[in-house]
Amino acid sequence: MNIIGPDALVFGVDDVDACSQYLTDYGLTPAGDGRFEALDGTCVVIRAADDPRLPPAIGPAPSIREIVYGVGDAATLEAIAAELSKDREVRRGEGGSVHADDDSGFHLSFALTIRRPYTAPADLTNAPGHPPQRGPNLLGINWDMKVEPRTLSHVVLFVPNMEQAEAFYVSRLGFRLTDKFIGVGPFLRPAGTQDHHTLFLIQTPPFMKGVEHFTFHLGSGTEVLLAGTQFEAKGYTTFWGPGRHYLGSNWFWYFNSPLGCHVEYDADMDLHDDTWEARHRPPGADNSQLFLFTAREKWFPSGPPPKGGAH
Amino acid sequence: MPPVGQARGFDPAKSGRDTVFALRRSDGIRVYRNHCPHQGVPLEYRKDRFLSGDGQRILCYAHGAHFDADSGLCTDGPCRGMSLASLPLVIEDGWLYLALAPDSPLLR
Ligand code: FES
Ligand SMILES: [Fe+2]
Repeated sequence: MNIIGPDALVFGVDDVDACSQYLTDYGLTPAGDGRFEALDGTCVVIRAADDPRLPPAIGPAPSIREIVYGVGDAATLEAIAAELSKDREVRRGEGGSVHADDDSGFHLSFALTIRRPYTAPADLTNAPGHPPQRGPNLLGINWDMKVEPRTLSHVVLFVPNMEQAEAFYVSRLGFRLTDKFIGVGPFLRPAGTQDHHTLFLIQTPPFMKGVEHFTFHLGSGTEVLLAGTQFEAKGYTTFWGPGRHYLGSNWFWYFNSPLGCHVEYDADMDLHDDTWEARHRPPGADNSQLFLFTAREKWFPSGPPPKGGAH
Repeated sequence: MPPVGQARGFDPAKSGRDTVFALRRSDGIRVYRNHCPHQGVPLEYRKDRFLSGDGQRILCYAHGAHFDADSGLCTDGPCRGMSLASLPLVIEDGWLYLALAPDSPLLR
């Protein structure tokens, strides 16, 4: 099944204005009707919790209401519909889209992908011992660098039974297990992408069911540090990071949000194909973060020089 | 002090972040430690944003715990049944004082 990854996450919230401001400050582009888009068109959709267009809620607002997966071809939509109608209610919508609940009760829909082609620059590195990527007089950093979220990377769900939840995505929808935190949950990759994970499941008590976080890919670790620093300067609260994960190798920086879950900046994730053998690791700090920084406003005893000033 | 329906964070021990927050309720002022009973982290998603959209409940914007604004009791979410630490306060000449030593662990 050619499922590519999450194309849209739909939230029902109690404070639409706060969420809209948040996602705009995060770097997404408002596209109207509650839609906030990355460069490739993948998006977060914000609606008032009582909006009749929304599927029923799992917990109190704010909360996730629908996860929309993009697929590569119409045959995949037919295959998903045929597979899921074996044991659950499946609704067909516009353009052949398929709507059903997963085994934990999250509302899923599947539609032809909305991802559009785009180009964006890479972060070029000068590493001694390797030909330079940035020639003379090309600067790596400047004060008004703009960071734009490029594509919706992954969503993380709290589920009451992660073995059952994993089995649903693997045996019914063709996701591959890339790695697993023993006793906590699996990193899963649908067949239509090589990204280490587009879905991570975490075992929790049933009343916590919901989204733990989602993230968009940025262009590099430098961009994660820059975007997070700018977001913090706007007053947003860090939850964890910045740092770099061990499983997946991706840079991370997590923030609190008014959407009812954490929101992350992420970059530079490993790619895998079907020859990869899943690693099973205990969930301690060593296996979840290779390193972790804590941002510090005051970095030498008399205080920092003025930001961006000449010195 | 913030108007009814809004909250404000303070850093009385100059720790570098807001370690307590205050809100006005119809019958007076409450001050809570900014420390979620679930994982011991700050609650707000942005400077001074501790409340639900309607200003009636306190929310932890880490994993969405809901707290009663008057009592600090968690009514929904991962720490259901646990409470925010409510801090003793004194109001004098229009100033709000915390009845705590400046080096109290509650202010860290
Ligand atoms: S830390 Fe507050 S709900 Fe988890
Ligand atoms: Fe993540």
